[in-house]
Amino acid sequence: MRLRVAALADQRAPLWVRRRLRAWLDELGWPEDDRDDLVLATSEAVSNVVDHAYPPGHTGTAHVEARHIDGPRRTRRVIIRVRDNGRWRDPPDESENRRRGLPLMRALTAAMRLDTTSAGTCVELISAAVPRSEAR
Amino acid sequence: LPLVPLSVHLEIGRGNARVGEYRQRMSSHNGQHSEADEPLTVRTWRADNTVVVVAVGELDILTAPQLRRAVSECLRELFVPTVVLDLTGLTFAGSHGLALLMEMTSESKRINTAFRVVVGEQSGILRVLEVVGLDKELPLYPNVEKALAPE
Repeated sequence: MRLRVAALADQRAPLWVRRRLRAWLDELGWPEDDRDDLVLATSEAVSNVVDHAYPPGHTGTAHVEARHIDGPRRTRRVIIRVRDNGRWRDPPDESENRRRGLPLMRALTAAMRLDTTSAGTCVELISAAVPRSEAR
Repeated sequence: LPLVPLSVHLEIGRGNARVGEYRQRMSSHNGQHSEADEPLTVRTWRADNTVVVVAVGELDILTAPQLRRAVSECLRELFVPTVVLDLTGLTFAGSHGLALLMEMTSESKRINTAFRVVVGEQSGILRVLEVVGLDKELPLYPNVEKALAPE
């Protein structure tokens, strides 16, 4: 079961993605604290798309894809990709936000990868391992 | 300490609200907060020498400007010695919220106003602040009473 969301990369995109991802993780029976960490990390990645990917006046898309995989010793993880078709650029206003978004994403996940090419930026977030649900 | 609502859209009558009533109203407000509502509700209360700004909902890239406006208006225009920001009603806070807290803290130092942030004892916002190590840099309090009368 995968989650795919394509959100218009405006200020409401992170809110919309958070709601979809939270519901998807709840359906999987993900533990609450881990769910909240993942939702926050993903929200930061989508916020980065809104802040950095597209020039002012041009609204692009933020693509979010989430899947879960089984790991060793009855564990599982979620892998989330947040992708855009823009070019990384600094936001117009000098905020302190830039210094906190990436550290947050890094701190809240087991692994994080940031790929920037001329075609766009892709952030991959790998969650901490959680136990598989009893039902399976 | 009597707390009087500052903003005109507040439904409470003028004059007699106290901390207890304020807390009760905010908690019933929290209970009613749903996804259909605005993502963030900001209300401002005033006592003699203190302004309490209460934010309920989600603090992110969309809503941070709204809270920034409310807090910086209080800091710049009301000339009170103390501004308290109550964030215990937040259900989400991301890096745009953290940036706002850093900005408002430096702004308050510049204009010599006490700025105190209420984050509860094990809230999501406190966890986020701890994750990035900001919990040591910001003036955090567990509840509004302690923020109004520290020590």
